[in-house]
Amino acid sequence: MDLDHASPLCGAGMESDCLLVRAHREAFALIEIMAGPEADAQFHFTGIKKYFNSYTLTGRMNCVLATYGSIALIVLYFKLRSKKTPAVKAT
Amino acid sequence: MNENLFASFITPMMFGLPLVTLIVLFPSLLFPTSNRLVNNRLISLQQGMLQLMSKQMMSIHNTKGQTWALMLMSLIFFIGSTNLLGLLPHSFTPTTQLSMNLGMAIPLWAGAVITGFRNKTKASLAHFLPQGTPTPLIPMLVIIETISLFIQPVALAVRLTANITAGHLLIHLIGGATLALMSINTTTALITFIILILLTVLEFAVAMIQAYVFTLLVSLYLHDNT
Repeated sequence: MDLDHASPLCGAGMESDCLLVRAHREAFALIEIMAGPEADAQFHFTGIKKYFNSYTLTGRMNCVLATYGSIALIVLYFKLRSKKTPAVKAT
Repeated sequence: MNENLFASFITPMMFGLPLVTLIVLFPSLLFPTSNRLVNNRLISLQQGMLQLMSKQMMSIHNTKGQTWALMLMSLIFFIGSTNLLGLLPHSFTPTTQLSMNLGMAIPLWAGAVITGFRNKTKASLAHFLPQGTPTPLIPMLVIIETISLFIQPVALAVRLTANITAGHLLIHLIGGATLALMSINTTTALITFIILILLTVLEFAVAMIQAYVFTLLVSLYLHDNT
């Protein structure tokens, strides 16, 4: 992908949109270079880091799923706790 | 003048029936189709522009992404023509309505994201965590990336709405100021009139640029997911 090809936005006075487009394209290029299954082979983790790290595709996916799972558990805990304790105690 | 400032953004009705459907469909009448091998100048120009835009926008996509070419080209032509037609005096611009822009942004964004989750589930989920994030920051960054993902369609819609609405409001205000200043001070009215002309030229550019930005961002979201 030719990143040097200037977007027609640049120099048209729409600097914020030009920067936005450039930022998206550069972010995409970085991801393309850094990520991917073939890039994962260069990392040699052991133990729990093999499954939970922020470098390999699998590691990142597992971290994301673990974060979502933790949030779901916290929400579930507070929902169940509020159901157990009654709102008004009878006297 | 103040009570008429937002009158151009009210959806037009005739005999109690909304005209907005006709207004949204109207730009399609300006793009004729042809069944001839060698076309007239208008259709040749239209096809030339279509080819230029599709080459520029679809070259980054793989085979799967290029199946969206028709959708993206229709999108840029529709938004561009709607925005430009809205610069005619006393006309209604559908793209000033947030509901309409959300109606375009959300399905396109959702389509791209769901395509990504269906075809590249692992990569799509891994996208929520930037590579090389320090361990203590992982939960926070996952939450931030999730929020930024869901903000994308809202930002798409609001960007288009705000740019077009702001431009129309400015034209209305400066036009009103020019008219009011004519009886007070002719020189100031002339300066305001020159500003109005420059603003109108800017609004022509903004109309086309916003169509390009909207379509380009949808294309980039699609590229991330295919």
